[in-house]
Amino acid sequence: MAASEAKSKTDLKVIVLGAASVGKTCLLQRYLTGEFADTISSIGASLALKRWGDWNVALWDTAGEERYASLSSFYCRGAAVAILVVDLTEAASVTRLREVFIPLLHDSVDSCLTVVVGTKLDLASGTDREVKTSVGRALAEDEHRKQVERALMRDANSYLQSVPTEKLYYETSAKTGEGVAEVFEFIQGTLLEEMERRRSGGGGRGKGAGGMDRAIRVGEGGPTKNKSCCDK
Amino acid sequence: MSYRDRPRTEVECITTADRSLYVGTADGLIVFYQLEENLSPLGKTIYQSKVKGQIQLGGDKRKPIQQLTAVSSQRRLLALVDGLLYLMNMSTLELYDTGQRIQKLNCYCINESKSHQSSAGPFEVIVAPQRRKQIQKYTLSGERFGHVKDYSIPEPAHAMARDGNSVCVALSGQDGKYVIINIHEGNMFDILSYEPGSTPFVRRMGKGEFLVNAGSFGITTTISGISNRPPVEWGSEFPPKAATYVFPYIVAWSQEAEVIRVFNLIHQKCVQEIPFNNGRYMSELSGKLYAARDKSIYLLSAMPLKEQVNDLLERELVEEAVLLAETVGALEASKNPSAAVEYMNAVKLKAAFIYLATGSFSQAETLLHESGCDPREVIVLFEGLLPQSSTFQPVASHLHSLPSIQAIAEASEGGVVLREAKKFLIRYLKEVRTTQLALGRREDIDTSLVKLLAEDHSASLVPYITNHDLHLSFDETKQALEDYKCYHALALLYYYSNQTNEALGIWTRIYDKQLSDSQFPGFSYIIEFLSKCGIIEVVLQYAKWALDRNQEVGVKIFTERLEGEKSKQLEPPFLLEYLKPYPDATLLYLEYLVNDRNSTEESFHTQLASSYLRQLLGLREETSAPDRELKRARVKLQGFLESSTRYNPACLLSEVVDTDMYRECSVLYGRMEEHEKALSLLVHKLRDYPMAQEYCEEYSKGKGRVYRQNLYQTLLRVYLQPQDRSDQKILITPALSLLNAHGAQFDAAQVLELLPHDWPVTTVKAFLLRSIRGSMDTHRTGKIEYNLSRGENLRVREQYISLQGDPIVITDNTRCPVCNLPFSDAAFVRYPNGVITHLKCGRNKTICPVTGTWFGKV
Repeated sequence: MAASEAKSKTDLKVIVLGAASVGKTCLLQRYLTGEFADTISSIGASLALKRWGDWNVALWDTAGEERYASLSSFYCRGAAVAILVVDLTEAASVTRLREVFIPLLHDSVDSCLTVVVGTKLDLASGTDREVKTSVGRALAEDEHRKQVERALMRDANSYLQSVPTEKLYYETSAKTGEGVAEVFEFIQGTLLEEMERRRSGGGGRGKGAGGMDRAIRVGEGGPTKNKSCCDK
Repeated sequence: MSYRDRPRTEVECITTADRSLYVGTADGLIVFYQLEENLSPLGKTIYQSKVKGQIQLGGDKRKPIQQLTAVSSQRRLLALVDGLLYLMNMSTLELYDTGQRIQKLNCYCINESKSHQSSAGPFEVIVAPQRRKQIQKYTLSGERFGHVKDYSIPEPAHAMARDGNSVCVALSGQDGKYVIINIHEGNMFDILSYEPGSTPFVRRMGKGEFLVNAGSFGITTTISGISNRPPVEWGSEFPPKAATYVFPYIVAWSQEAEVIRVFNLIHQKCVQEIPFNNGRYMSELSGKLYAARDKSIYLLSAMPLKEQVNDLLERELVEEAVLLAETVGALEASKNPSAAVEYMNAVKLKAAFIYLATGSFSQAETLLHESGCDPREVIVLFEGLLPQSSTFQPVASHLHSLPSIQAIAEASEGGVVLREAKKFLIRYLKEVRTTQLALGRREDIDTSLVKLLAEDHSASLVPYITNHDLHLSFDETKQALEDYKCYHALALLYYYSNQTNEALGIWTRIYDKQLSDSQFPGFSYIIEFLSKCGIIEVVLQYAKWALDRNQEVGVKIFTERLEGEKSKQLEPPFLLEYLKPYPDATLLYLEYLVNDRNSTEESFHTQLASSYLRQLLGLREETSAPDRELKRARVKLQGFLESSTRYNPACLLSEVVDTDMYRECSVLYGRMEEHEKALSLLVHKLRDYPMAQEYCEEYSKGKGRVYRQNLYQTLLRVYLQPQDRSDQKILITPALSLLNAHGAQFDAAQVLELLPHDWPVTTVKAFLLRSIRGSMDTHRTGKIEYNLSRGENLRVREQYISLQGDPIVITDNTRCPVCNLPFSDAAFVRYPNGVITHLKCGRNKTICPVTGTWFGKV
């Protein structure tokens, strides 16, 4: 059962959350294919596998519509990273994120690295822009602070507290590609560093640094060496 | 098979064990069939059934059999009828008295992975009572159930499945949801809620994973409550009643929609839809898929995976076909790895051809790489591309029905597709030529690639020919390059085919605009090429061509040659002769010899100096020559004359002496040690007195005192005894300053002689004072040195004498070395060197009579 085995050998889980039609799928597609494509409204959730260094990473795209909230909450479990997406041209998307998706994330994941990404930068000029950089940044820092607090309750040495807060907010355009790579480079860099540290002993780190522990199978001799045929 | 024994009986549920099939009916009957599997004459598997027994459960109420499970490890059959759990013998259907009645149940579950194999632990049944908010664990030993433990849950359970110690439970109630209970540790956590109105069900799918129905989606979850797979969307108007996992598919059945849908778990898409009306039941049992209608039971066998792959390919669903083939390959790899790889490659190749036919070149490219096919199979699709010399015979043509890419292109829009196709082939060949696949096929691949690049006028054509070790069919490539006017590449081809002369012929023609090729890098390229070229005849032939066009650059052919590539013919004397018609080139070459190769050969230095000189003179003759250039040329000449010590000054002097280049002249005189002439030029012609002094300093460096004195004396003489009397007055000042500044360098007596008699003493007072003091100082220092040395000498002599003051013993045997007689009286002579003689024999006191040493005054 190669297929099922391959999928279960995921070392890291990254989840993309945000209100309906803010551009979650486009953001992810841009990163995965380097192209911009119009997408239809996502249903349920979808998954792409990626290899970051030695690790298999599952990038989960969720559906933003209200009726899928229960599903999204389920698929959030075990996420090491949550990418919180807001639409820069739509102030309501921030409210939705605060009122629906952040509570949902808190319910499903003890703590994780959170990054706030503003989308549709190409459209957000002049009066069309409804979300200021300062608002997005405040949201990112606010959420990160909460996650650090949650993490510290379980692990006093959580790596989250050493993450530079100024790197937690990005403004992107999936259409032009601006800023997209930076988001994932930051996440990849931060996580790989942390994973390597854990693999090499982790400096006396205790258990339970957020949701990552559940998704990380460090005890089984590191990451999988065989690249499965199903990895995309 | 049909089931017609009791007209009013309808199938409700099924279970199997080995060849046994148990059917539970809607009216409480369990029928036990023995199945026999046979092959029909057509090769199809057919099943024949034989009734082995039956039993009516639940008395006359005739309630439906809700659940039925054969537990082969225990040889038992479990049945749930009207909430009551029955236990029977599997082969006789004998009903056991289980001791306590387990009743009012919604459902039960067993540890499925243990049910078909006997294992060490006790066999356990988990039951869910109808109205109680708990599930209960029982063990089965022999014919009896033993109650072990209760686990409380928020709502009564509606459906359950178990894997290991985890039980996934669908809770009924207002907000129905799925939870997982670990019956070992006793803890419980939520999975997710299902949509109201949907039929909740739970299926175990492989180890550690459950499949649950969330309403519109089928969701998989691991026993730790995390999902590794995206949800499967059931689709509209399809409320599933049951679903099950048959690798690699999820099969769902909707009683309402009367349809069975098959979803591929790899990409979560519905791949097949089977109409199934009047359905009663569907489940996977021992790896087989059973579906039941009212009166009949069907065994749905999956088409062999390979056939599915072929089918998908036929329908041009390439992506799915490849995915499935990979799955098949992975399954087969454990049994026969090489066959698995071969199979996958064949599928991929076929898939690639389908992509090619539809113009999806990038997809085709990936697959072609993965399939590891002979690249020529693709090349051959492009008409006229494979070299005629190739012996290749396509073998993969049965995999596709493609006539040629050109034909496809014509069938569609034409130009665009063909261009795309060629671009694709270029990419593909570039990639593939570096792999194992190219071994033994390099010539075909490389030639095709170069032809394509030439046709495309690609910028990478030249780098490819230059940087890669290409195996080319010469004639074919040449023809293509000529046809597409890629002359630079053609020249390179000649060059790499050891036809340097032809190559250069083309380049020079390109430069001379007889041929045109924008890829040609230009003149300097030819120069660089020639500078590296090892064939001397060719170099000399084309060097002339190059020098005729640009001497300065052309000379680099010789100056930038690597040392190792020198041949006798290109030695400097030969080249200087060769370069004679090109003065600029000669000059640069000489500079190269002198500056870069540090040649010490006098003639090179002389020639260089005279080249500089000639250049300067030439410039002077041109009235229009800008001052700056003149100045530069002059500085160059002066710099060289002053820095180099190798040239022959006499040769040069003849050319300079009649000009007004006094400075150069003075340097040359200096080199010839004709200081007076040199200085007089500096003083009288240039009137550059500091320079004159510098000159003295320069030339007296490292020389003795006398030489220095002479030099300064000469300068003074030049100052004081000018040929032109009228200058005398003017030169007094520098003369005095010289005297006063460098007084120590002069012999005062000679200076006094030089000084005009009518000069008052005061003018040279400073000099006199200093030189007198200097003389006195020298005199006194000499005296001190003399006396110190004398003291030292005396002291040593004293020491010497005292060392020799030993007594002299004379015996009867001692003989005088002069007369060889013994000493008879007390008087004798001793010489300082220790020789002892008779008085008479040592007549001369200062000469030793034996050794002849003279002991005169020291």
